Amino acid sequence: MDDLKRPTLDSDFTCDMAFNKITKWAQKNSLWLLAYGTGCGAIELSPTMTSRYDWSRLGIRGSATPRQADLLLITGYLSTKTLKRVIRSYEQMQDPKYVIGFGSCTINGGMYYDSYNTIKQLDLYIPVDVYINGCMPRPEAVLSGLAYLKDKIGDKKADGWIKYKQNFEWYRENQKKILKSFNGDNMPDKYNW
Amino acid sequence: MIDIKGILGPLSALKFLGKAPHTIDYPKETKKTADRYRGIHYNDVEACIGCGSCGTICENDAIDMVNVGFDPNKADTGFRPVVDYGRCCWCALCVDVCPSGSLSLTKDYVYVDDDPKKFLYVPGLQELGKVNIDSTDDLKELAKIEKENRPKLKEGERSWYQKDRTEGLLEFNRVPMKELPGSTRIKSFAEVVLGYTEEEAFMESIRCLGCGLCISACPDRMHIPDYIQAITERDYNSSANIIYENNPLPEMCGKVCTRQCETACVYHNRGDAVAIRWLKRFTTEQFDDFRTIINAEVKPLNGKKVGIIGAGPAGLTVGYYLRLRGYDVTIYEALSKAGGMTMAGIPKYRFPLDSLDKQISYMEEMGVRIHYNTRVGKDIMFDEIMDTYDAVFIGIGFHDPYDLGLKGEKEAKSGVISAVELLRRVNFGEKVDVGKKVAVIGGGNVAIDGARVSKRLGNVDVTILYRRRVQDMPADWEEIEGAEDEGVHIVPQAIPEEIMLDKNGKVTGIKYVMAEMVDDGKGGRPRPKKIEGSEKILPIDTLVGAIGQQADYSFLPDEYLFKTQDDEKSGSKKGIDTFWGRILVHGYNETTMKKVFSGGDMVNRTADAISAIADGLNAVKGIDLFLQGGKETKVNHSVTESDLDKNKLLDKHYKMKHENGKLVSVKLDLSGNIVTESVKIAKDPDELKKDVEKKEVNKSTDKANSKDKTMSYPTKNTNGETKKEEKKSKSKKKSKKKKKKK
Amino acid sequence: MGFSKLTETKVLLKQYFKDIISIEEGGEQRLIIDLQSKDITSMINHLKDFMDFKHLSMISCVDWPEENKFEIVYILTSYSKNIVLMLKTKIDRKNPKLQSIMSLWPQAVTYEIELNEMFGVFFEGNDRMGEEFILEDWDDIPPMRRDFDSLEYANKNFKFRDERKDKKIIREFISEHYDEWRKK
Repeated sequence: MDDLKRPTLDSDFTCDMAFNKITKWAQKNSLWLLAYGTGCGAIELSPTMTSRYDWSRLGIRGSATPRQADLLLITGYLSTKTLKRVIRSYEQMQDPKYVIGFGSCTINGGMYYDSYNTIKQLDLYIPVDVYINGCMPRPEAVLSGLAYLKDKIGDKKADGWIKYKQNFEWYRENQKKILKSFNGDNMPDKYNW
Repeated sequence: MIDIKGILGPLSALKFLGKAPHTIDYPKETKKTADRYRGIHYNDVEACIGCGSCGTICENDAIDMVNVGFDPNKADTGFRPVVDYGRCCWCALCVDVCPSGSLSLTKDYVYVDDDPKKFLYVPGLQELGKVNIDSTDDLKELAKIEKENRPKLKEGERSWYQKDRTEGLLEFNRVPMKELPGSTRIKSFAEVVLGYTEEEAFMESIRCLGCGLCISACPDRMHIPDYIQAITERDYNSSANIIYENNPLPEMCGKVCTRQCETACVYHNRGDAVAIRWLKRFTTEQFDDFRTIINAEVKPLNGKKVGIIGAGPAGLTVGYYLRLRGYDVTIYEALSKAGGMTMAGIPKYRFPLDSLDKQISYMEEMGVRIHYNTRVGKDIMFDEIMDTYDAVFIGIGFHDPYDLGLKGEKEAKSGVISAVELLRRVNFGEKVDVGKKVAVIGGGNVAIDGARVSKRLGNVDVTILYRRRVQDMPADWEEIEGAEDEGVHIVPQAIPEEIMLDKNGKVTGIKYVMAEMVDDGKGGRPRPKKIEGSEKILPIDTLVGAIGQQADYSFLPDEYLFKTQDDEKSGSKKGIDTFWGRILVHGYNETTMKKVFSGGDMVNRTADAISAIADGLNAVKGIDLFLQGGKETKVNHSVTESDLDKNKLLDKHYKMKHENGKLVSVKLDLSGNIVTESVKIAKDPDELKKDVEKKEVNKSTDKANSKDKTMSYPTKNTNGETKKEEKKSKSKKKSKKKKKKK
Repeated sequence: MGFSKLTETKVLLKQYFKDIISIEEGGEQRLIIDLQSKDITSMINHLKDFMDFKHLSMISCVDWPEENKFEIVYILTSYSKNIVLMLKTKIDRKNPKLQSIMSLWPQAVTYEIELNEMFGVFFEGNDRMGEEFILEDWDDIPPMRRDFDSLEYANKNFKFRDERKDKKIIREFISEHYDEWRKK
């Protein structure tokens, strides 16, 4: 994984610095996320989004479809069946887009390390910008993760989406190892379908 | 109709105006977590002993042990846990099972990073995300900083998830061993300790975590967790086999071992160590006869002969394991019974004669030849032994007591006896009259034994005089307590001055001075200093001296023995070098003289039975390498199934006898006649009688068969044998399975 | 006082089906019936149509590789009698075939295709048999069989982080170290 191409963000921005700053500011303060609970961490999102912790304070809200979303939360374990849907949703999202991995399962398999049906390393299949420690992370940890992502966007370091585009072949290869019937009617072998 | 309620209803929300919001404004404020909330690990790396129990119990395979720069020692492997937060699910089983209590879970739980590699973490060394195991930094220093940075807990506050002794999965109290009460036991030499029952042994064995730290402390490196595991599985057969792999006198060790293993046990710091010694004793007590149980393969004789001087633990160990490797072994013993100091020096209430006989008769039947009542230097010359044998092992032990060096000792004609001699005479069944009042001088185990034996010789009043305080006594704490229970008086800080004699030279009393403890100024242990004018006289009939023993090298011709008084000169002369009364050995316990090996009390500094056995095992390796020209004979301690074909089985069971100084293989009887079922724990008296009869029958057949002096292996006997084989293979399957598990 | 409904059901079932292997009470208002696989469809038919066991709670399977059998378990409930009924039958593990009960309860289809996927049991008459349910692109033996080693499969098909590549079994790791100490 270390031999992946390191993306350069600036090349994607042709406008001048001032406009650049404004877009970054706008992007980081209005993160719309795809409301798609993949693992047990989805239950932690309810207190985080409702009045107790209220993530709309940070400019975060859910979106209706992947095409409107900026942020994809992988909330814990990801079964191979769900992975197919996740890839599909992720590739439909518009640039720039970010991914947060929740808890142990996305890092090294977690308590499902010996399961036949869950993936062990999320960043082999889609680029991950932030990992949150926990099993599952409490709402505070989730908010910290979101705040960290916001900082990263502001610092122009949240470059996972460019990494995915630039190393698309590599990611596709990994995905195909798990999803054996990838080239079916549902999964065309090209980007952004 | 106007819906007033519908119009005014929303206005009720105004009642929340001015009230504090319900929202927690994270990160400006945080919600208090529950008292026992489980967050990131913290490990007190100084208190951690690296036993690896946390990693073994982890369901998620999240904990590895790594060497982070701590020195391994007796009770610390030097390893520390590394937690993978790509696996951990914060179940805290690792904390529940941590025997040293060093591991805990803090209430910190927020950690966010974009590099998944940083979620590997050595708790207690550095903050999460900063750890680099391979760094060259002083890790101990880092641990100190990390410890200081931890938030201090207020008194009574409980903000970390940590288990104390009463909680968690561990049982810190051992199953108590039943003993005879003090008043009963002074009446006879009956064994004081009663032994575990099957259920007690099981309960004690399941306490063992199987980490194996004890092995590091045992001089003999016995496979302690393995045989305890076998007890847990109630497979006493394989337990005995595992013990016999490197200890030919397990019952002796099970009763009187100094058990250094128990001080290294993970439970030792916070509770009672696992009763390793009692568990070994339990295993050996399950069998009346080891012959049918032990599966070790006895190799046929390879033509090399080894002579052993002294049938103590060291000598017997060398004899047993060399015989297994196919050597012709002869032991010369000055006394009429084998066992050395364990026979002559350990009182029978601690180590009954039957136990020793059981182990030694097994060895003798296996082919270890012992010449009793043969003192080397008197009955047989050392030169002769050197000429006859390909290798010689000396394990004569410390049998000569030091003189007390008191005024009147030389003049005394009766009433002064050394503890060693007293014990020896009592153990060999002699009648010893110690009168009504006895004083024992010394504070070691021998002194306590002397006192407790004197107490059993009748209605005797026994006093122990010791120079220092009771806590300075080198004797086992259990022994001291036992003596006190039995009514032995201990007078600490008493320095004996003079033995009072009557006209006939009989002891009438002892004069001693009280002492105060003063610092020796060098940071060592305090020295006793006489208090002027505090002389006291204790009227006694017998004085027992127990201030230490030495070896008697008089059997060695002068040209072989050299006394080196300092290290520089040692090893410079040809012959057996000694240094302050101990024989100097190197590597595989070889002495400075060619083909002479040595071990036991007169070699090692710990001077206990288990060290002697360890010396013996080391020497066995050395002798084997020496006689095979650097190639070690393979030993098969538990015969595997493939080896179980009939021929090998027959090899295994031939029986040796010595006749007119020659080793003769006697036709052995493999049928059900010889081999008695000894798996039963307790036997009916009727059955015992039958066994004795059977044995006698065997003896007579042996005599009849001993006429043909050539090696002759038995032919297959149809009845009974097949059954036995089946049984053996079953037990082997079990032990095989066990190995697989590991 | 008459018989309780439980005893009544028990007696009735014993009368109708002579071939029942065993029938016993498994707790309060619970019956456990062991029967041969050829009787299972007629038994369920009878229970639903004449004895008012209208509710199919679930269909499950237990693997017994030691006996070379699969044990299929049907759990039925009767609301009028307030009885939970557990029907068990053992079928050959090498050729696991059973009649589908989708004509009685349409929802049985889901249970049956799941059992087909997880254990490889084939239900005859189920028109969705062989459809992918949870496992997509599965190419190994059915994963809920006891001879399937999940960890081995995970090691073969998935990648774990390299940082712990040299991870050892802790007990062995420590005992290796003893040898170092043994060298005095």
